Amino acid sequence: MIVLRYIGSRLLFLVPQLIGIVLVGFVLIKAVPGDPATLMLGPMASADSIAKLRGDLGLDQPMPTQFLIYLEKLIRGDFGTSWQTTQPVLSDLRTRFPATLELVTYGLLLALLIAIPLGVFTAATKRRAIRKLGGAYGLIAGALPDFWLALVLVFIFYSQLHWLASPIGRIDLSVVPPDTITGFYTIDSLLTGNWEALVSSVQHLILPVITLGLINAGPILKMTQSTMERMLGSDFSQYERLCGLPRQLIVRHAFRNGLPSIITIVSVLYGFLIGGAVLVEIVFSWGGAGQYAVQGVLNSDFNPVLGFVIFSALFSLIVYLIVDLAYLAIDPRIRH
Amino acid sequence: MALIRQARDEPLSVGSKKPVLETDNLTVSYRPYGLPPVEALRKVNIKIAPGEILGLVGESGAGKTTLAKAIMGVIAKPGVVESGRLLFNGTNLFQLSEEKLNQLRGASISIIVANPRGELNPLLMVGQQLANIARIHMRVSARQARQLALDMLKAVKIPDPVRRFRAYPHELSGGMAQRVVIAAGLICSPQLVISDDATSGLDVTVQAQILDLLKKLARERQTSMLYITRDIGVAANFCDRIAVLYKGEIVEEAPTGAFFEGPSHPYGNLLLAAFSHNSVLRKRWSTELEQLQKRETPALACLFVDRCPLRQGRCWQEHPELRDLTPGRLIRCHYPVLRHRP
Amino acid sequence: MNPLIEVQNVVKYFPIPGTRAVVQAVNGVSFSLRRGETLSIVGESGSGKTTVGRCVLGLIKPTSGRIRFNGRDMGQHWDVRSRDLRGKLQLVFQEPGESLDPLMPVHKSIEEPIRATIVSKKERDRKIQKVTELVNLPLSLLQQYPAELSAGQQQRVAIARAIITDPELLVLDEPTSALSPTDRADIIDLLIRIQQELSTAYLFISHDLSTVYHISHRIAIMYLGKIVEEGDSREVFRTPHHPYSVGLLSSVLLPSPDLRRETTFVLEGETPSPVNLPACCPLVSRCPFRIDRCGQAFPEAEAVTPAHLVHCFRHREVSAAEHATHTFERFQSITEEILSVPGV
Repeated sequence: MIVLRYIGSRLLFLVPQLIGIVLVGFVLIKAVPGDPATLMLGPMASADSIAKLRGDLGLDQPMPTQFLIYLEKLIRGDFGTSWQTTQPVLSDLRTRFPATLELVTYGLLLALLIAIPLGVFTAATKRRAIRKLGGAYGLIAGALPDFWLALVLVFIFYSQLHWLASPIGRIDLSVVPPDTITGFYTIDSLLTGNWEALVSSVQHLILPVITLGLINAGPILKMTQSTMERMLGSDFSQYERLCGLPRQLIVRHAFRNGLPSIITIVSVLYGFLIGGAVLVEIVFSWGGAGQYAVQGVLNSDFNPVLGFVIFSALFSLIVYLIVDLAYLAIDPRIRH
Repeated sequence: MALIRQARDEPLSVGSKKPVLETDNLTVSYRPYGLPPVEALRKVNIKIAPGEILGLVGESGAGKTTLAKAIMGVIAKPGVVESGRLLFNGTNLFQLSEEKLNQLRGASISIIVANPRGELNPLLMVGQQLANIARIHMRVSARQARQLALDMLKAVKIPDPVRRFRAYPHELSGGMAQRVVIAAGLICSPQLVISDDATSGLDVTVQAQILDLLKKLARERQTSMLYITRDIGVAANFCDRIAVLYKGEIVEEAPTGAFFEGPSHPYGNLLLAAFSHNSVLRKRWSTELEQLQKRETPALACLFVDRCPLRQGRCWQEHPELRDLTPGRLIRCHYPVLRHRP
Repeated sequence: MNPLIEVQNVVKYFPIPGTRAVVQAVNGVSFSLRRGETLSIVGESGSGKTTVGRCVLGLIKPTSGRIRFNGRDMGQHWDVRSRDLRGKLQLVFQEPGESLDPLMPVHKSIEEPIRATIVSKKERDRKIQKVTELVNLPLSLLQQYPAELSAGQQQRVAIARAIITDPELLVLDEPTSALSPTDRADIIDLLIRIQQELSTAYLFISHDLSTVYHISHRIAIMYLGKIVEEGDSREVFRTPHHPYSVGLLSSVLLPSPDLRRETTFVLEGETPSPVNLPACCPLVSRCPFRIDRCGQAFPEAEAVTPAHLVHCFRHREVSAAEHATHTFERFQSITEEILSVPGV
């Protein structure tokens, strides 16, 4: 089948794409000033010990050699070790990446829940005031910094009202996290029947998810609104009206025609948020992948950064593949 | 392609039956922001009897599409219906709510558009789009609606209708897409079908087939048609009566046979001369005109005065009204062309 | 005397990306055009007439075949932009609004073809004035932009631009299809007049048979990439010999209800797509006159008269079945009678 062949060729192409991304990431991270050996040994270290550590770490080799060494280890599944956590990067990411993914996925779902109905409604309405409201929301959401909103929400709902959990991570300190199956605390606790963990993790998810949802609903709303307006003004929508089709049906058809544009922006946001949610992660002490990578950059700890780059690149590429398949499913014109 | 000679249709007596559609001094203008308003239609009066095909002839910008939009009730800003009534079987459509109008659209009054591939929904199968229309307007189940759609595709002689039901608009040729749009216009057996320049983009052999088909279906179902076109050749062979629209006004209306034995309005004669490419005749029926035809809010003159070879003083000072020339024949001219047949 | 253009067995296939199939746009077309003559290529969509026009101009390289200009085989150098041919061939498009640069006042558009070849500004201005008068445009219009002109005026500008280099051949691709009936008649008259003054040959590509009837000396009817009938224009219109020509001519609706052409047969269906065409008569799937032989080979040209060629095995039966109804001529005389009103 053509579809299978298409998926196959895309997956095949994934490998050179990843290598390219790793190369660029490698060069960029090495370009950041900072010497890990110095940072690791502290300000009192002697020049000799620094030099020896650099030799051990392989940092005195020429750049291409370093890259090839890294690549070779990568193929064997060795992402290196983080000198900050002293753990292998792979195992660090195994907990942190799902943490971010869980947060971002729920956040995006909330954003969709807010933005799409609102976007469709504001575009389909005849009243200019409501349409302007939609535009205003997009503007405000784009202007607000996400961490600021996070802090405000924490202040109101935790500090003042004591309604919600404290921003100290994904789960109460006293609660044992569920066994790892997917890495998503919510799903894992459901799967293992661990109700205590489920309740706690949900409680801790509420505020950060609301933050991400409210902020990211902005661009999705704008895209939905403008796409819907374009579709509703198109020839085929006019024609459906001339055939006497009810407004509801016309709006529904227009939405379906506008889906490709909306899916595009959602997929871009999804890929972006893996790293882009870092500020929210910091406010809520989430222990996510973005934080991990930022720490790596600040401390010249290369391996976590590169590991993060690979994970998020792989994730994005897979999301784009799924999106392209969705286009194929929606638009019959593409199939040719 | 067969324009098989058929017995000339019996001329329909307009006066005896109540008209399906009647416009009464319909005036529509466009009011673009910051610019002076432009009159697109001015006191237009037309009548269409049941089962009759009225041809509306005019050049681009004359107001033909505006009239189609006014009848369908989709005039939107900056267009404004200034005055007049639009009577469909006696009911004034301008007084109906949008919801009631929507019930009429597609079911009692339908429109066949030009450029069908651009107007059909690109994501839905064409058969499904037809079925949707049937489902909305008639009390039928989804399955019955699909059957009706398939029957309609067969009626419009689309080749391989079962397969084409599942086709998407971009997979169809222009001629086939036009047949689909015709099927959409007829599926609910409306009383009035408007064809807005629907065949102008087609190959001439395809156009001939489509016109034959349209006429047959219209006659079978006793459907009235408002056939809007720029091509008087098509109008001559397809319509029962002709109405000529010039700069938003009806300037002549007559049964087709009578019209083509000799138009009464100078503009009709000019059109005929243009189609014949006879330079002597064309010179005779026009004046030197090398300025842009600016559309201005009319003063008192006849709108045709700057091009008319028969103009006299009165034409600049007094705007002619539409009046009876002979029974069944209307003219808007102070000095209509009268021919005495031997 | 040498014909101006000789087209010999030109074939043009367009590859379809992603497959090995080709669109067989032109399937072996041969014709010639003399100085000062108008040859119309007539056909519907898919006939290949536009591609032929582009090949003659060298804008598209034929897949095979030859084109001779003034007796010289141009071979691979056939290109309207090459030095030998520059200015001798020109093109007028269908959409006047789109062929003129909207950001240039029209005199600049008219000037464009000679800007590189004529150095003296005074000389250029003189030529601009000459062609502007030739196309009956008031000189005051030269400073305006295309958007300020009507469609008919825009097309006149396009024609002025095309004739400013004194071309020997003008290729016109549906030049009047987008115009109103009155503009259309004016432009056709204009083209005839220019031809008389400048002896320019026209390759007139169109599907509008009324205009073709009026402007052509000769006509070639194309179907699915092949010429099926060609000859003196009046004669072909009067007595077509090919089933497709009959179908085409009888589909034309003239503004006279009494003139319906009597046909005794029908061409069902639509033109098939020009891919994977068998090497026989392209009409075979639709032709009511077909016999076995028609599916085996494409008929060679047979001469009805020395100047009238048709590619059909049964053309005699076709013309016998059709009465020579002189439709277009009758329309002319009917119209003349109607429009000759005393006092006008």
